[in-house]
Amino acid sequence: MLRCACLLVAAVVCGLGAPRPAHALGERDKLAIAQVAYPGNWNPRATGTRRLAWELEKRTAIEVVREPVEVRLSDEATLRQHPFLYLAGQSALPSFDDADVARLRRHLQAGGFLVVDGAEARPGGDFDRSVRALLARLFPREPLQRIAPEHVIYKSYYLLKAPVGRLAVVPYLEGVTHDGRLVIVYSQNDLGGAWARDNFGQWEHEVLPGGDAQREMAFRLGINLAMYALCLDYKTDQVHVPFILRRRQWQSK
Amino acid sequence: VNAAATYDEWHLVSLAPWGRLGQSLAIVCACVIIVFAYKALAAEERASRRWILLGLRLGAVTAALVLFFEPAMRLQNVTRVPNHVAVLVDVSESMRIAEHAGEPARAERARSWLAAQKAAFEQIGREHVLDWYTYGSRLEPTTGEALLAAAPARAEATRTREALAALRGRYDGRDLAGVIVVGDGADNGRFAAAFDAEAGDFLRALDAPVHTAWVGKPGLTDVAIARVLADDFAFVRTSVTIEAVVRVVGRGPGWEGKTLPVVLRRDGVPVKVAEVTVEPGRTDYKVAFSFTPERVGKYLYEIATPLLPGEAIVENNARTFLLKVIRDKIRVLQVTGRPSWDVRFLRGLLKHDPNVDLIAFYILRTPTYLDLVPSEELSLIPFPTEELFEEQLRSFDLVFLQNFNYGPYGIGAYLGEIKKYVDEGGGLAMIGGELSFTSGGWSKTPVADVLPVELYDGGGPAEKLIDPAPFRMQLTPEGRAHPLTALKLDLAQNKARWAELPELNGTNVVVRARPGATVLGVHPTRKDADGKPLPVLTVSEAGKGRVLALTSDDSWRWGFADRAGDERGRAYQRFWEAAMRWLIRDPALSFLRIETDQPEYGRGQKVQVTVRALGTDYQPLAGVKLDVSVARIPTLLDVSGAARPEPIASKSGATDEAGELTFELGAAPALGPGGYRITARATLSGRPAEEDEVFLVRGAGKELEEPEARDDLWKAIAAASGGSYRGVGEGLGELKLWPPRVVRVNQHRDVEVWSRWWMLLLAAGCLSVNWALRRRWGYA
Repeated sequence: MLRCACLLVAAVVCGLGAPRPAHALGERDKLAIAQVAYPGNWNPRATGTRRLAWELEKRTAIEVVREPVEVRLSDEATLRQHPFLYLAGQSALPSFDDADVARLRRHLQAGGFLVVDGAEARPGGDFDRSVRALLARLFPREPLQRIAPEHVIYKSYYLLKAPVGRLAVVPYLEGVTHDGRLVIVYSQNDLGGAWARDNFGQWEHEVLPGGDAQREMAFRLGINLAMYALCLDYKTDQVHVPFILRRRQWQSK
Repeated sequence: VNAAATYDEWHLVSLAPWGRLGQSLAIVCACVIIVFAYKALAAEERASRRWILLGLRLGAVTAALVLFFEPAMRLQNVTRVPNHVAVLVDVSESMRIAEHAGEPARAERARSWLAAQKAAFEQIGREHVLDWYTYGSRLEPTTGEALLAAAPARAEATRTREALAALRGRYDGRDLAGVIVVGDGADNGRFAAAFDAEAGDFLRALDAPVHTAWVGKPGLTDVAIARVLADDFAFVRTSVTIEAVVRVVGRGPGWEGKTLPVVLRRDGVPVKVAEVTVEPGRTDYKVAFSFTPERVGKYLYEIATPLLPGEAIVENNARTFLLKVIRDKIRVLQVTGRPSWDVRFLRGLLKHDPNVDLIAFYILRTPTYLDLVPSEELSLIPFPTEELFEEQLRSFDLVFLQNFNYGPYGIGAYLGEIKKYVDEGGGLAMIGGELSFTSGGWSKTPVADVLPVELYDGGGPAEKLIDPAPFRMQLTPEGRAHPLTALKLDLAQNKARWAELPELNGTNVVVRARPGATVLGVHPTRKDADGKPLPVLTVSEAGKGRVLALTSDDSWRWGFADRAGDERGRAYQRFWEAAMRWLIRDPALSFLRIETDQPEYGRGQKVQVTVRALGTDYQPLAGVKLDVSVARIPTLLDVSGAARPEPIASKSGATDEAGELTFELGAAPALGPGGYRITARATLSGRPAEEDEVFLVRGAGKELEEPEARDDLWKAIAAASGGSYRGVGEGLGELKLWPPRVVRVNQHRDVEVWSRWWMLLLAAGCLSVNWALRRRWGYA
């Protein structure tokens, strides 16, 4: 702890001396959360990803594009600019045509990452069924599976015990693993609902049953997802293991 | 036949020209006739008549057979051929040993013994043919005179059993009366490995008695590095243990209780020291050296112990061997200033490569942000600055500084270490971003000194240090053929492939490429301080290391956004894999190469050296002026005690059409035992290039590792083969030798047995009497 604090203080002091760049090499290299648009209510939590981007910038070293980006699966040129995709919905997704599905598959295979967020928060509901149907078309040989609690996604930045959103109806995340990495993460707890905050600084939705503490956990999960997208399994490297193990033990005590 | 006066041997032969088939048919016919005759007489009740008739028919058939076979008596005049006695004299290296100073060596004693037994050998020579041989590594015929004049004791091994087996092969089908072996019994062939029942069977199967004459002497005092247990290769940064056996034979003045240093040296430089204390009655002392090779390459190692007073042999106090240090995996350190797509894709590539051992440190949190979340709820760990940049840095083959600014993390004090790491042969890649190059505060640092691009002196608006406009990197003429940018083998296809890769977003702005650096990729529009296209991808040699500068953090798009046909995403992988290989000096990518036709040589063998020069496109480069020098790596036992390699040869010349310069070493004078380093220097594409290679000339090897003369082996050989043993001072005396078994026919004559009148009369008589009796006794 002491070493950590000293480093941090030293970091701040030293950081003042170094040239401070005004911006990154290009806006396109920042992390943009590109939300998949489709016919229907594709953006049920309109301010959610903007707030997550703000929190990411505030809490981590990740450089983000604060304004959400809209992307359509038919628009390959835009897809190529944005590896991180966010697909949300409250009701059944439309039936994407085969070309769109193939484009999305190529995108994910090439290194992209997709977060699917169910604002419906009802397992077995219309959105849930349509998501499962879409994912089965995307990766027929790599089925959607529960993500084990030991997965790096629960420790990529914060040490998390359970995935929660606006609600906590499903105590796990599901995902599709391709070539050794998660390419799709599916949450049914309405993450966007917990993140959403209006321009006057008010939270748009009440978080149940955990209130603000649960909202914080939802942000932490969002940050972990972004961190996983950019660092993959970095936190499984051997050097991190003793630290994480020690902190997990502290948490359980 | 009265031929006793002329002929001394006779035997029967057949003169019939019918061949084996005809003779066989005749015998079959005779048997059939006899069987039918017997059956025809079965009805005869009176046995006397039956046997008389059968006897007459048998007589007739026998007479007919004699006529058919035409037998003759062969009379011969023969002479007994003298058989061979083989004399084998050991000419191995151990025969040069004199057990005590001032005494004759074993080879000299062998010569004296042979000379003293001259009369005995002459006596043997009257009844047998004396064949003289030398043996060591192999059996070679010689003459008695040559052996007496001077038998050079230079063979690198004593393989007595192998020599006897070769001897038996030479006398296959010839009469061998016996074998006489003269030597010190210091065998290191199959007899030394095991003299067991099978060895006894082998000696008996020689079918000739082996008489042994021992010319050794007890009382040898010597210290030897008797055995070294080391693999031919080791893995870099992986602990290696080399074991050696120090053999102390006999005791010289003051040896008892003395502590001997045993030194392991690499290319003449001490690496480790072990100690051995001479204890009463103990001969073998095992020592082990554990060390960790830090760099890939071929090295000459030596284990040596100093000479003690009264030692019989000098050369065996040191053993040299080659150790090739290879990579198990490429050890890579990836340090990044913030998570990004560039970080993610490079990590994905490195983690996927089974040949890469990745150690990564990413700054996940902005140093200026003070999170209220307790650190126990975060997975962050402290940056192990000291461990990484001081203790472990040299363990890496390659360091990626990816969009990383050293300032906030207390690394400033270690930047000199990074420069030193590169100078000593490490690979460094600085990848762009707003935290890299000038905007990362790297100006005027030791790291900037090794970068292939010059940086602005810091300060000033960041906008001047970064150009955010998208651009497509263009290859320079050097970049079109360089292995690092070779996405395609065909140069035109490679150029086209780069032209279709996705654009990069923005670039760090640098002053210019450093003199001597190679610019492989440039900005299409922006210029450097000299008005030349702004370098984007630049490489250079720095000390023994190599450095790459890519002033963009967007190369990941060559993997993610490149959707060109079947090549989807492969450009990124190929580019960075080639970059890694180049940065770690993969030997396959070296511009100057040295090859010897063998890694190790025996004494007196010639060494063929080939130096190859390649251009930046890795095609042979003709007409390149090369300066090649060869130096002997000094050993601990060198009388001069020179610590520096001693030059022994040099060669200057230009490469031929194949880009090669070939020459030979060791023709005159022959190279002495030890290690040699060949160093080639040239200027290739305007840059100085240097490469080296080592080779080893073996010394006496096994011969001097276990130099004690063994009379027990000589006695065992003699006993097992039915021969006899002669010790020091004993003459040849009476030897058991097989008598000659081979005869030579000088003259012969065939006396026909069949062409006699009585033979014809016998046949006719038998048939006539048989006919007459049959008539008389009422047969049809």
